[in-house]
Amino acid sequence: MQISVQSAKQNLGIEAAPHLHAKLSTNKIMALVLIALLPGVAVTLYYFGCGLIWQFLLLTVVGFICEMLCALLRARPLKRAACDLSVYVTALLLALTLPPLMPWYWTVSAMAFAILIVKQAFGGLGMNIFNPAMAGFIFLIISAPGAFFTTYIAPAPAAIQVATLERSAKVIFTAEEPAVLVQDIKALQDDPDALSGATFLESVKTARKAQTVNAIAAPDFASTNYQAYAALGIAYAAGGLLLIACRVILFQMPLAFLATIAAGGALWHYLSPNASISCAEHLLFGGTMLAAFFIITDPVTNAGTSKGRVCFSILCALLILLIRVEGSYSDSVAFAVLLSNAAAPLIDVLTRRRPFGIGYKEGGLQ
Amino acid sequence: MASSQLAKIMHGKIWRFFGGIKPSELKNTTQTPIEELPLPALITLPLERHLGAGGEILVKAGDRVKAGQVLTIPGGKRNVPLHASTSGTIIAINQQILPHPSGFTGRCITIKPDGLDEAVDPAPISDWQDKSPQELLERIRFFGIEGLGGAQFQTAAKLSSAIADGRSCNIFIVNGAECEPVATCDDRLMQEKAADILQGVDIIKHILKPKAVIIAIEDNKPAAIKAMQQAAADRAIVRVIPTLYPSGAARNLIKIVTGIEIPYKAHTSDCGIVVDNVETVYAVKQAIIDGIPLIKRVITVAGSSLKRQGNALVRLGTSVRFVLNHYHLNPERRQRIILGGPLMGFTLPSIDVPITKSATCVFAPTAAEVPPEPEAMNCIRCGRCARVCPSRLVPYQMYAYSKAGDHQHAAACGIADCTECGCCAFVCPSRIRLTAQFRKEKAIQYLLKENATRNERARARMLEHQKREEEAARLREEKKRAALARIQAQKAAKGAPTSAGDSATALPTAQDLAARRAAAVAAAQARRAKLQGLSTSATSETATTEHMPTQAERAAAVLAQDRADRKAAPPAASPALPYGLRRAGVPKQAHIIDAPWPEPQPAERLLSKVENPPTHEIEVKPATYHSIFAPAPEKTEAPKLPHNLSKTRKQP
Repeated sequence: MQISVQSAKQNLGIEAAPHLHAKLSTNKIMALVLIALLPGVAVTLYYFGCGLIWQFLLLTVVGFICEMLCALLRARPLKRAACDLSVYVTALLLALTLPPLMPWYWTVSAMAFAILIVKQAFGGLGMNIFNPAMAGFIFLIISAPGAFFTTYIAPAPAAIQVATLERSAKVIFTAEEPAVLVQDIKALQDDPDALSGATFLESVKTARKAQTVNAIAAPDFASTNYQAYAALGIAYAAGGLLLIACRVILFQMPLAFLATIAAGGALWHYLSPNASISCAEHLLFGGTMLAAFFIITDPVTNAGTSKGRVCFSILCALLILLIRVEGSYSDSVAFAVLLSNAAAPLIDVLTRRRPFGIGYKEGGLQ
Repeated sequence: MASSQLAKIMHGKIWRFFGGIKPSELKNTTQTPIEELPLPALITLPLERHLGAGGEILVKAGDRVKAGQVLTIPGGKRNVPLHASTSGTIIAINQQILPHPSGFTGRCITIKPDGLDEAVDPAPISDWQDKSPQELLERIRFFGIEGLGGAQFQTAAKLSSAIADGRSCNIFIVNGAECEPVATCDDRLMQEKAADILQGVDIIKHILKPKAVIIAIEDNKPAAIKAMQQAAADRAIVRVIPTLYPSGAARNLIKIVTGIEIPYKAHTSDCGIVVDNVETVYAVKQAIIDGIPLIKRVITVAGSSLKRQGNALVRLGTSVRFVLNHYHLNPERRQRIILGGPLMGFTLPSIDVPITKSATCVFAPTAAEVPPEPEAMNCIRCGRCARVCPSRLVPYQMYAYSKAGDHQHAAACGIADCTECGCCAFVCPSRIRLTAQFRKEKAIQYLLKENATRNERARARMLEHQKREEEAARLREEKKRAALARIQAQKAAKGAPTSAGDSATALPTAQDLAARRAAAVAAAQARRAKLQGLSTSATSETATTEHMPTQAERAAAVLAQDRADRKAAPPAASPALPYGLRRAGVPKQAHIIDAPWPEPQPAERLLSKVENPPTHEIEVKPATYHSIFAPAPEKTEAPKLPHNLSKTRKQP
């Protein structure tokens, strides 16, 4: 009472120390992540067509509605929920991981699951245990595996000219058969019949079961069949470097992650070439590069200290390798990320830092 | 290992502490010389740190004091005396607002300066090299020297604990880091008074006899470094340390300079390292070589809301309002006045508070300079706070526990090690008030600990009480048993000769009862016959056997006789007796006393000007301690003798 009376009398501002603050704020971090994803978005648009735009818009609208709904239910200020950019980051990450021609109802249900159950049911921003984008992806891959095969586009240069906004919208929103568009895009490649499966990892999966991975021709990343993957990898790495430069993410995390994947992949390939693909294929196919810079660096679902984060990255990389080589799904990033998310509290406990003043001896110098 | 580390230290190795931040410096007043402020209209001196248990105030309202005069004698060992900072009249000793974020009030002495600024004569110790450390320490304590870096820890206590019990001091570090943004007072002092500071260093060297003296200065103060290097020559090492925010905190500075991490449970002086602020060292020099007590200090007055900015030499007790007026404050709406730097300082709820020894800086920023704190968002566990914490804590965990009211876990996370340096809240992208929460949590922990000790004490008391009760019960039981045994023994002794004839103790049988009933019927018949004037020999025989008076009956008869006697005798003589002696006991009705009530005397008139005068006359006793420049008064009055031996009585 004393405070209020006296400060009211003298009309002085009251604040808690410290009065200075660093410039980086949570919303700025989210905006920077969105900006850093732009090169990846551009490459995806060019090689996969305009489906991404529709998916992103759809995910954004659904995410926004879900956030508003939760804010209403939890009696939180709507304005703050609207200003929160984290839902757009989730939407963009999910849009980049889902096949571009996914039917709209699957996209909507994935986003609703990600926001309502994975994020808000645990308490909203900062309280979720699992990465919402990855959880949404896994929700779909488990409940609608067929949709992934039919709607996946094998990337081809200038696919944006074939898969225009209108054509993709028709496939996504009306129940038009996506196979026609997929074939049209595939026709743009140099050698359209090089792959038996929808993607390289998919075709490897069947070969892996037959222990004939070696028989599959090594992809040439300069050819139009595979240059999209190389370009995507470079684009994500460029965005990641921007984040590192802006000190949004720790450089140790992607470094440890990529080094573990490269070293582990190379070793496994060397030991049993029939079971594992090579190091470069591990790095460039699937979501490895996206995960390295944008998914495992999600602070919320991570371990706390820097040491813990590096442990987290290494664990995630090892899980990716293990599931890719031994698992029954074609890609493993999402599963590995969720498993490491679950292990994050344990990592936190195991990597507890020593308290200040350990190693002190009575008398100091003597 | 030890000597090698000392060699490394002497060689100039610099260690690095964990974490730390680089906030914007805002040090605009590096080039502004220190100016002495004029006398303020009022001087308020808080008493809280100068009394302690058993401390005494030596003055009373209305007294005239001179600058440097001792006003209190401290009670505790940790306290120092209070000195008047200018000459004038004491107008009140009462509750005033203290410089505290909550605007608490506390007891203060208010002096109205007379403008003459007379001072007591300085008492320099010219031959301090020949004095013992104890003498010098005593002087340092009684000249009111406390840490001027902000913590306000008593300097003499710190120094003496480093050399107590035959310990030897290894390293004496002069803290000129001044890592807090805005503050430039130490910087200016080093630039202007380098030689004086080195003299102070010599004095402390004489007291501590350390193996090395290191003056640590951050590399953003080139002028101060140059001045100190020139003044120091080979008397001390000037160590230039990198600019990183909490490097001025004692433990961080020790880590930087010596590589030793001293845990927060231990004292720095226990391992032979003493850290003192440059201004404290300067005050030590003034106390010993100039003989002036600590009544002024240098503060930085800065901020864009002021027309002028600068470093000011102010008298302790000057109000913040006076300082701001002198620098022409042009306040904005909801102007924030921050006492202390922008990272560790606090906003004042009122500017009518005195400058104390712990104030380093008065900062009056505009909203453009220091933007007002935005609303906090959710924690996204980005881990920035954990990366900058110099105490190696994980603040976001601690915050979560503390917010959830899980005080045990918060304590397990190491909240006791938090120095409230503000690094975590500085970097937090969600603008969470981490430091404020930790401050609150620490207060809660303190309360909890106090509660626990109180409960522990209560439990011990309860146990003791129970033990006592049990002991008493046991004694009672023993007594009872002894009494029972005694009674039984008596009974046995009594019953043995008359066991046959004692019908009362023997259990009556049915025949016996029938016989008794028959006897009673016969007796009744006999009584009736007697009433009718008839008597038979048979009934009289039975009556005599029936009325054999037992002891109890005899006692009852005596009592009844007594009662009858008392009823018969009227209480004629009783009113003359006092209550307690009256046989009839307490009277039923209260007596109305006719004597008039004493008229309430009017209370002694108090001085109307004084708001909150002391309730009792403050007696000025001859000081047990006497200042060197105010020697103890000669004892003029004759020693008091007991009455029977006094001279007046012997005179006719």
